[in-house]
Amino acid sequence: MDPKDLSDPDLVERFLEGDVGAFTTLARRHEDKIFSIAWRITGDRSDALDATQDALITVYRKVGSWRGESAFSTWLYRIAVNATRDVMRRKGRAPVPEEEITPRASSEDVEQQVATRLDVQRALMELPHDYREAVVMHDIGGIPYEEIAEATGVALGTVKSRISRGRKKLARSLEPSRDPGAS
Amino acid sequence: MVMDHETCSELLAAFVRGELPEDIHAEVSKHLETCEDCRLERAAAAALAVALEPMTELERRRLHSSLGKATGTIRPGRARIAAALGVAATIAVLAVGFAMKDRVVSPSLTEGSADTVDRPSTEELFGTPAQDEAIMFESAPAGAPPQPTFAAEVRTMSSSEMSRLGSSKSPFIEFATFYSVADIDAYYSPYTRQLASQAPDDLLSRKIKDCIKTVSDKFPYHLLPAFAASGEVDGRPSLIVGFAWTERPIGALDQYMLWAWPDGDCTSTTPVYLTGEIGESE
Repeated sequence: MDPKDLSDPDLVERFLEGDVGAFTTLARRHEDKIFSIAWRITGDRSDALDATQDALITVYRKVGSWRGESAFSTWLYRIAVNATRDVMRRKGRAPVPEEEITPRASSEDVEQQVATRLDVQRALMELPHDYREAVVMHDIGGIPYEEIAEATGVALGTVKSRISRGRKKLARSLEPSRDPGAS
Repeated sequence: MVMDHETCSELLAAFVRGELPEDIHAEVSKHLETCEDCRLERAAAAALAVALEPMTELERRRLHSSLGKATGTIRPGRARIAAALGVAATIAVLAVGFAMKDRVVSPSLTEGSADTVDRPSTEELFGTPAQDEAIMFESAPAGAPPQPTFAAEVRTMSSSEMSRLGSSKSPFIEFATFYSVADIDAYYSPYTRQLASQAPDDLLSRKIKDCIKTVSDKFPYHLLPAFAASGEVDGRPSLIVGFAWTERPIGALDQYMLWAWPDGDCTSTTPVYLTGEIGESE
């Protein structure tokens, strides 16, 4: 069977049994998602790349500690968020409101895609860091509320509140022309 | 059952991904009809659900290169893996699959693995010391800027041998040490002309300029032409051009690129291409 068709748990098992190619398959499967999470939190592609690298190295070293109690992707994306925090701390980063992306092609489609990505990113960067982290963990990383609470050390209710408020603020930022009276 | 606001909010991420059972999905939909707050949340969740931000090819290559080196120094998982061979295999697999053109070989990915021991010297590649010298930089006085060098009549080599030329990094390491992004403006044009002027005839001179421009146009990053050679690659007469470059906005030109165009035709032929990081010694 093509390794790409294997599930995450199967690939982990293969890796632990000595099939190092299984790790590569896992890494390639998830690297863009990890990068996305890190970029959405940091707003800096270089930091996001560092965080992605650190996260995957952590997985490489510690995959044996994944017990299957949560989905592998959930476990992995939690590591990604922690790696992102470490990178920001290490580099003394305050949340940066702007980031730069140069469109690589001139077609309208690509420009529109870039504009949309930038809109989402700008809106995210306007959120308080705690809100942004919770929203990204849940809505991009798919990490359950309970695990976000555990990972961030806050009460479950706080996580719910951060995600709910963060989303609403994000939506308003993305739709500036909507009815200003709407709440 | 009437769904409350909090429950709806908690289900929205799964809702926008279409992951809810049909009956629950319907309940959420019904709640959304009457709840402005939840519609706002749904809009945000939907925007984020498709907010995947893929790495650029260069970012991906840098990641794989870094991972290759990092995993070469640590033991994986529960250490049930035969470290040396396993790491080599991991690195090799990481090196595959991010080809930008026909072929990308990232010699830095082989760092620390068993295959470094059989990496041939430039003598093995080019046969004679004279040719070795031709393809290396002439020793510059201490502190003087390293100069780009054209080497004519490089002996036939395969693309894999070309990758080993890249891994020796000899033509580039002085460039990496000496030049930074800040130097590009001052040196790019003079070094392009300098390489072209070393060509034995006008046609090759023009091809060198054209091919350097082709790469510059293709890569919106900071690069400096460092090396050119004529020879055969994979049995075809080719023009080889090497660059020191970086994707970072400041700092040293920490990567190299080698391109080989059959017949020196960079407009219609498919080049052999490879890149990697400068800085690791043999």
